[in-house]
Amino acid sequence: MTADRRLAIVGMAWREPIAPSIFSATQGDILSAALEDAGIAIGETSRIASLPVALESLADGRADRVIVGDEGTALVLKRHGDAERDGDRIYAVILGRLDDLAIDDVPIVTGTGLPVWIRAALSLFHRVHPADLDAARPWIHAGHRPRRVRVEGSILLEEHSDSADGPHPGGLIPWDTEAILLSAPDRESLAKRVRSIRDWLVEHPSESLKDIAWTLNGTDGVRRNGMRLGLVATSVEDLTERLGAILSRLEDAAKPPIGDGRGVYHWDDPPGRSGGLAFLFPGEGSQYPGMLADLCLHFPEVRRQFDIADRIAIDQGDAIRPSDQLFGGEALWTATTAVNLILNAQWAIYQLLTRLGLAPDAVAGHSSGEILALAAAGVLLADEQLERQLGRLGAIFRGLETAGEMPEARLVAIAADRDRAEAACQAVGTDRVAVAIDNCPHQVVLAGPREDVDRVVDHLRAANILVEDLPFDRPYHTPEFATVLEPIAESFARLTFHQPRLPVYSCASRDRMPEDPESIRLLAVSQWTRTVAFRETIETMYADGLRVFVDVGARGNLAGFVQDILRGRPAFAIAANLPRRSGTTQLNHLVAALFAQGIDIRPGFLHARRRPSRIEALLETPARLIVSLDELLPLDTEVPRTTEPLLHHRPLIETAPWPLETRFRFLVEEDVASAPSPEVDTTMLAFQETMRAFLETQRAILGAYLGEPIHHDETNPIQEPGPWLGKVRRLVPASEVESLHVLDLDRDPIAEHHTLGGRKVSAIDPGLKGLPVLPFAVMAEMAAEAGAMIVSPGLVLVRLLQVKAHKWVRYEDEPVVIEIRAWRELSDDPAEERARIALYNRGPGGRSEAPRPVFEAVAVFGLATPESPMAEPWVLEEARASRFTASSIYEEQWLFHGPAMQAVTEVGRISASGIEGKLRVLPWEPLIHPDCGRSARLHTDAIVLDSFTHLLGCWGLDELADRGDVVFPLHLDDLQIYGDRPEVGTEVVCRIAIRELQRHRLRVDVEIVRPDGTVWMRLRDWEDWRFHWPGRYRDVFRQPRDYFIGEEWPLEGAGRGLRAVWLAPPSDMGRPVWRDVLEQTQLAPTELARHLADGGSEDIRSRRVWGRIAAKEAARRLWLDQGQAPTYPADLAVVEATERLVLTRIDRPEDRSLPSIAIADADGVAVALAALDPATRLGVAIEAIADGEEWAARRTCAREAASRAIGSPFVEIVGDDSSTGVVLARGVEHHSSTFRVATGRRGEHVWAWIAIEGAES
Amino acid sequence: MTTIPDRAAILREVSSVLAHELGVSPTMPIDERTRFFADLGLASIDAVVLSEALQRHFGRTLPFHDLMAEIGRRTDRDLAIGELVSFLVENLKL
Repeated sequence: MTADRRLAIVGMAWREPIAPSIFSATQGDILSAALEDAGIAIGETSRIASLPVALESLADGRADRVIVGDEGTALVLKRHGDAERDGDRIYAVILGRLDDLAIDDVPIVTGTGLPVWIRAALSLFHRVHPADLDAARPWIHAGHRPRRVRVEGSILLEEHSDSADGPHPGGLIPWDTEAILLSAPDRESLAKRVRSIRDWLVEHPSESLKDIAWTLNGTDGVRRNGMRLGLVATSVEDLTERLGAILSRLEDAAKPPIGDGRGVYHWDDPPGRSGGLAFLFPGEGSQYPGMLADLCLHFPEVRRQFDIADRIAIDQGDAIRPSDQLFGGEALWTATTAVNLILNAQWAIYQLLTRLGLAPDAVAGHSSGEILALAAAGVLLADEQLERQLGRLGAIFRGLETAGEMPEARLVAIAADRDRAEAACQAVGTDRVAVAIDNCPHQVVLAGPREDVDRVVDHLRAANILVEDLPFDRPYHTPEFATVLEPIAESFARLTFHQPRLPVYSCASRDRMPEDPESIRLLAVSQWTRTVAFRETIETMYADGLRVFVDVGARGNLAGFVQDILRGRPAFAIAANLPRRSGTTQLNHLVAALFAQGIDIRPGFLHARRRPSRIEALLETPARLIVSLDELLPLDTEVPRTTEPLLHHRPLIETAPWPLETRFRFLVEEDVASAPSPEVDTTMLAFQETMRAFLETQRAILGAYLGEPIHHDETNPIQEPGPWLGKVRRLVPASEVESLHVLDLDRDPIAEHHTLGGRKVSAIDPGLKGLPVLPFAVMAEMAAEAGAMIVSPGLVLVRLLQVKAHKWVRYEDEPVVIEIRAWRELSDDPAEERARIALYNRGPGGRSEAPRPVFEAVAVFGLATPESPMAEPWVLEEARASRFTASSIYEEQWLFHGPAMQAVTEVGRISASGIEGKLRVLPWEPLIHPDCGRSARLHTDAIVLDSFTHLLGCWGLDELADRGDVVFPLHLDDLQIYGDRPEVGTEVVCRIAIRELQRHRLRVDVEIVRPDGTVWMRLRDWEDWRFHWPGRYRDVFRQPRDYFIGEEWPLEGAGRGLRAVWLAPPSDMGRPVWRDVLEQTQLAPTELARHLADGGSEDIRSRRVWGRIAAKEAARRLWLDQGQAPTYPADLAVVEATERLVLTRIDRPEDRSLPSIAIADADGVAVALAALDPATRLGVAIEAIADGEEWAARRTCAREAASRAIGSPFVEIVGDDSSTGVVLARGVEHHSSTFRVATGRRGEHVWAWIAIEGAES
Repeated sequence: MTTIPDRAAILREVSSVLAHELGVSPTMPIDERTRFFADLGLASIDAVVLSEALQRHFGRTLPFHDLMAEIGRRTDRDLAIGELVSFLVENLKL
C-alpha cells in the first residue's frame, strides 16, 4: 500500500462461497487484481477511478463491476479475458480511509502473500476468529464496530454484514445430512413415488444430495398431500438404501408402523394432522458446552443472537462474556451466566424454527424457560430490555453468591416417579427435601439440604433406582428459594407484560396462564419457588388438543420427557437440537419428522444460503407441474381442535447489521428473473374447477390447522384465493401461478364505482357514467393475491415493492381478460418469501396478444406484519385550509369515485409540502363481484390505498391550479404494512409529504396512521404523472354538461343562429385512456357503439370523436344563447343520415329539429359548425398550410366546404378576395349558383366555411 | 437353570424391547454399531425406560447405574447397541 494514497480495504464480501475451492486460480486472479489495485500491487485489469468515470466504464462495458466507496472513490473490476471465467464471483472490495479507522483490538493475520488474505477473508466471511479458523469456533463479537482483521500490519479488512448476514449464498454449501420430504395422496401412491425416486437414484448416484433435497422439498414438501414421508440421509447412497428399505413397509399396510429415529418418519395417521403444535422452552440443564457452535456458522441469525448477548454483557460492565462460557469457559452452569446463555440459545433456535414456517398453537416454559415462552406468546417483548433485565438478574445472583446469601442445596435427578421419590423422602424421615421438578414418570428432581438429600439418595440407590447429581446447588422451585424472590420480582417489575397472543401454559399452575398481564407477572415470579409440574402440565396440554411438541432447547430433554409422559398415546415430541448430533442433522430430523406429522413447514429455508439447483428430471411433471385431482384429496378436517387458534405470530426480533462507520453503496447487476412463458395452454383451462377444489381444500385445511372453523373468518390471516385473482389455470406450488381475471362490466362493482370522467354524464340516462377502469390499488391487490398463492401457507403480505402501472386497464362491453402471472423470487431475508407478479391485458375476450405487462409488482410475505411504529413527526409548514372539503370533492365530482370508494372524511390542511386528511376504513364487500365471494379477505386495503390518492388529487388541484394539477398513479416503490387492519368504520389519518415535483412527475411519501398514532401503512416513493391540460379539460370531466373543451370560433358576418367551435386538444387526449374517457362521456351510448364499430386507426378514432364533440358543443352553445338549459353531450348523438351528419337527442332519435351541423378536422384540430335552423346546409373545411401556400390551401378548403354544403363533389373555384378572405365557388352541377365561402387563417391552419340557409326547405 | 442367550439373540431381544417399549421400529435392522442417542435419536430418559424394561424382560436386576455412569464419563456420551449387548451378556451370566 502506498502511503500517499492513504486507503485501506475495509470490507470484502463475495456472492459466491469462499470455501477453499473458491480460491481457484481464476478467482484468485480476480481477488489478487482487486487487492493489487488497492495499492498492494499493480494490476492491469482493475483500477481506481473517480465515480463518474467508473459509471461510464460500466455503461459502455469496459467494466464489469464498479464498487463505490466513500468520498466518490470507486474500484473498477474488469474480468480477465474470457467472460466465462468466474469474474462475476467476486462481489466487493470496499475502500475507505485508513485515517478514520480504529485499529485497536483488531486481530492480526500474519504471513505473506495471497494465503494471508484468504485466511483473513475466510475469517470475516464465516465469522470465525482468525485464531480459531481450524477449530471453526464462531467469532462472537460484542463490539459496536463490525469485525475487522489486520493484514500485513496496516491494512484492515472489515466484514460486510449486509451481504453475509442475509440469505446470500454462504460458504458452507454441503451439509452432513439432508432432509428429504415426499408426499402423495395415499399410501399406495406414496410407495410408487418412493419406488420411482429410488430407481432414479440408482441410475444417478452422483447427483448432489443437496439438489435432490431442494428439488423434492420444493414440490412434495409444500403440497398438502395426506400421506407424507420425511427422511434424513447422509448421502445419495444412504437415501437410496433408506427408500428401498421403506418400500416394503409402505407396500404392506399390515406391517407395523415405522418408528425410525435414524431418519425415516412416516405415520399413516399422524397426530400432528389434527392436533396442535406446542413449543416447549427448557430452563437450566438444557445447556452443553459449545452448543449451537456449528449452527452459528450456518445461520448468522443464530450467531447474531450471541453477539447481542455479549454486547449487552459488555455494556453492563460484565467482565465475562456469555460466549466465553459457552464456547469453552467453565462457568456454563453458574447462576450468573446460565440463564442468560440458555435463553439466548433458545431464542436463536426459536428464530430458526419460525424461519422454517413453524408457528406454535401454544407454548410452555420449563423453569426459567418460561421467560421465553412468554416472549414467544407476546407477553414479553424479546428486546434488549428483556436481555438487560436477564443480565441484571444474573448480576444480582452473582452478588448474592459473593455475599454468601444465595441459598444452597443438593439437587438430584431420580429415575422414578413423584410418588416413589416422595415415599423415599418419607422413608428416611425428612421433610426438608422437596420435589423441585416433576419431569415425567421416570424422572423427578429433588432438592434440599445436602445431608438430607444424601440419605434419600442412599435409600433410592439401595432400591436400584438411578440417581444423578445435577450441576446446580441452588434450591430452585422450592420454598427455600424464596430469599431470592425479591430481586426476581424486582426485575420482572421492570418488564412490561402484555396479554398473550397464544396460549401459554404454566408449570407452576399446571394450566393455561390467565389473560391478565398482571396475573401472569405474579405467576411468573412465584413459579421460582413452586414445583415445576411439567408432567401434569403436559397432560393438560394434551387434554387441550396439543399433540406435537417441539423442544426448543439444546439438549432435547423436554422432548424425551413428553414422550415418556404420553407414551402409548397419539402424540409426538422432537428436539430442535441435541448434543449428540450436529445442529444441521437434528434440524433436518426436526423438519422431516414435523413434515411427516402433517405440519406445514417451509423447508426452503434449509437451502436458502446453499445455492441449490433444481433437478428437472426429479419433478413429476417437469417444468409444467399441474396439481392433479388425485393430489387434492382433502385431509381430515373434521377433528375439532380444542386449543385456541393461533391469532397472530409475533415478529422475529431483528437486529440491525453492525453500524458501519463509513457507508458504502454497491453497484451490482441485479439478477433479472426470467418471465414465465407467455404461451397459453388452453388445455389447462380444464383444470380450473379442479384448482378451485384444491384451493378450497387448502383453505379448509389451513382453517383446521389454525383451529378455525371451516367457514371463512375475518380474523384468520391465512391466504386464500382472493376475490380478484380470477380463475387459476396453472399452479406450480411454491413456484408459479397463472390466473385469468375477467372484467365484467355489467356485474363488477368496480365498474360502477371507479369511472374516469365522472358519475353524471347524462340527464336522460342517469345510470350512464364515466369510463370504468381498474384502479391502481385493485391491481396491486390482484398482485398480492397471486403472490399469496405461491408462498407458504399462513404468511401475510407485509410489503409491496416496485409497483409499476404501465397502462390503464379499462372495462369494455365485451369482458376483458386480465392474465395474472406470479412466480417466486429469492428473498434476501429468510423470514420472508417473495413473489414477482405481472398483469397482462389480453383485451376483450382474451384475444389480444399481450407481450408487455400493464402492471408489475413484487409482493413480500412474512409470518406477520411488523409491529406498528409510531408515526413520524409531522409538520406542515405554512399550511392553510384546503379549498376542498370531503363532501365537495365527491359531490362536485372533483373526483370520480362511487360511494363504495368515497373514503375521504376530512380534507385537512394543505401546503406546498403536503396535505393531511382523514380516511374511513370502508368495507370491501361492496366492491367485490358477487361471484367472487363477498366475504373474501384482501391482502391490502385497496379502498384506503385508492383513497389516499383522492387527498393527493386534492393537493394537485389546490396547489397546482392550472399547471399540471391533474395527477394519476404511476409507480410505488415501497408499501409497508404494519399490524392489523383497523376495524371497518375507523377513521385513519393520512399524511402525504411531497418529496419531489417535476414537470411531469410528482413523488410523495405517505403514512396512514391509526387513531392511536401508530402507522398502519407507509408508502415510499409514490409517483404520480402530472397531466398539463387546460383547466377546462379537468372541468369537462367532472361537469360535462356545464363546460366545453372547444373554443368558440367567431364567424364574421354570421347571425345568432350559427356557431362554430375550434377544438385542438392536448396530445394526451389523443391517447388512451383519456381519449376513451372523452368517448365515454361525450358520446351517446349508441353513438359510441357505432363509433367503435367504425374502427380505424387510433388517429382516425381520435379525430372522429373530436369532431363530434366540437359539433355538439357548437349546438349546445347555440342553445345556451337561446336561453335553453345546458345539455349533456352524451344525451346527443351525431348520426349519419342521407349523406349528411345530423344531430339527434337520444330520447328522440327521429327528431330532426335539432341544429344542422358540419364537421372537419386536420392535424389534431377539429372544427364544427352548428346552425339553429336544421334546414341550413353547412360546409366547413380545415387544412394545414403546406410550404407557405396559404391561398392555395384556402381555395382547397373553400372548395371542400362548398362541396360538403351542397352535397356534391363537383365544385370549382371561380374567384377570391384577399382583402376579405372570401373565395367564390360554384357548383358544377348548379351552373348558375356561385357561393361565397369565408376563409381565414389560425396559426398554421386555414379554414373555410359556408352556410346555405333554407336550402332544403 | 437360566439359559444365557448368545449375542445375536440378545440383540434380537434388545430390538424387541426397543420396539415395544420405546416404539423403535426401524426400516433397517438395528445392529451392534447402532448408537442409542446419535442414531436412534433417543433421549436420556429413554435410557432409563429401556433399563427398566430390560430388567423386567430378563427378570433380574442389572447394574445399569454403573453403565450410565460410564457413559456419562465419555466425551460423546453415547452408547452403541453392541455395548449394551456386551453389558447384558456380561451381567446375565451372573
